Amino acid sequence: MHTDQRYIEALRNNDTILISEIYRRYAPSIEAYLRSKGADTEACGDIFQEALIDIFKLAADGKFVLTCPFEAFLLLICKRKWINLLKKNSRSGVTKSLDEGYHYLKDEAETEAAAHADQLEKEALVMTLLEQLSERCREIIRASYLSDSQQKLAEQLGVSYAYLRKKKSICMSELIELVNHNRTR
Amino acid sequence: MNLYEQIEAYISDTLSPDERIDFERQLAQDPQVKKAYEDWLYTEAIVQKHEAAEQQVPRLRALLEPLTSEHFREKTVTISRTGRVRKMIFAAAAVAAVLLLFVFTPASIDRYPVTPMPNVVVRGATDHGKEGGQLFNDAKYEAALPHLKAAADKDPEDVMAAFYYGVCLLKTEQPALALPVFEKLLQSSSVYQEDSYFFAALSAYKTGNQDQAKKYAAAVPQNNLYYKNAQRILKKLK
Repeated sequence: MHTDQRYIEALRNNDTILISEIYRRYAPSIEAYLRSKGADTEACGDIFQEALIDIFKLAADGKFVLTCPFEAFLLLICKRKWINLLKKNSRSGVTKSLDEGYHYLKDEAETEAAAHADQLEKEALVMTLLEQLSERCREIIRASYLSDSQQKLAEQLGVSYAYLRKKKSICMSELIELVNHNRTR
Repeated sequence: MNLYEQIEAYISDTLSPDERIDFERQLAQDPQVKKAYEDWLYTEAIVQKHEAAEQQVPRLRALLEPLTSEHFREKTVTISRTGRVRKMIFAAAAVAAVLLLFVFTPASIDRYPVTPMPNVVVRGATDHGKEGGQLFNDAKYEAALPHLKAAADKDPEDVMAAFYYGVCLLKTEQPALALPVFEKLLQSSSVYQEDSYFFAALSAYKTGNQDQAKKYAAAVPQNNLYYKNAQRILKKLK
C-alpha cells in the first residue's frame, strides 16, 4: 500500500482538509499539463473533478489498495479523459485503447497506475453497458442491490418473487454477455 | 432451469439440497459453469459497489465544486483586485517577447516554447517557488535560478519547482547541471515526465552526449508539445 492511500480514504470520507491538499498539490501541475495539450481551464477543472469522483467510485467499498503515487494515478485518469474528449469531439469514436500516443518509457509507478486505471475503466464499462439494457432490466438490477430483501422488492415492483428472480437472471445474463463481448473486442 | 437461473438460485439460496449438491458438482467440474458463475459475481460486485457509491456522489460533488472553482475557474477574477496588474502586464509582455522570439528566430534547437509556471502571479510571492516562478515568467532566468533551486532542494517532491529549475539552468546555458534534474524528473511519473524527455535530450545534446540525446528525444511522444523540437534534435544527430 502506498502512503498516498490517505487521499483515497479522504475521498471516501469527505475529508475536506486532505481533499483540499489534493487540489493544492496536484491541480496546478495537472492543469499545466492538460493546457499544454490544448484543454482550456474549464475543461481542466471538469476533468480533474470527474477523475476524483471516478477514483471515489472505484474505492467506495473500501477494498481498493493504491500501489503507486496518487499523482501518477490521477494524472493518468486525467490524460485518458482528455484523450477521450478529443476523440469524441473529433467524431472518431472512443476506442478501447485510451493510451494511444503515450509511448514514453514506463517505470514501476507508471505500470501500477496503468493497472489501477485499467481496473477503473473496466468497472466503468460495466456501468455503461448496464445503461444499454432495457429500462425494466436496469430497474431490477439496480434495485436488487439497494434493497434489503428481494421479496420486499418484488412487492414494491408489483411482481411475484419468482418472476423477479427469473427476470433478474435474464437481465444479468444479458449484462454479462455484453461485458464479455466488449472485453474481447 | 437454465444456467443463469441456477446461478441466481444458488446465490439466493433457494435451491433444494439435492439441486445445490448437483450445482456445486457442476461448478467444480465444468469450466463453463465456473466461468459463468465467476462472471456473475464479478459483474454483481461492480454494480453493487457503483450503485451504492452513486448515492454518495452528490455529497462529494458538493464538496469538490467550490475547490474546482477556486483552483481552476476563478483565477482571472482575482487579478483585478490584487494590485498585481503590473506584474501581469510584465508577464504578458515577457510571454509575448518569448513568442516573438519564437516566431522570428531561425529554426534551431533553442527555439522551443516554454509554458509559464502556473499559480505564481495570482497568489503572490510568499515563498521561493512562487518568487522564482514570477521571475521565471518574467524571463528573468538568472534571478529565478536561486529561488527555484531553493524550492526544489527544500521539497524533493516539488516536481514543478524542479522542472522550472531545470529549464532555468538550460536558459542560463548550464546544460550539464540541467541534465540530472531532467533525468530524475523523467523517472517520476509526474506531469512533467513527457516534457522532461525533451529537455533531457536538449541538455544531453548540448553537453555532447549524443547517444543519450537520441534516446531521450526518441521517447518524446507524438502528441507532446515538444515533439517537433525533439525531432529537430534527432535530425541534427543523423
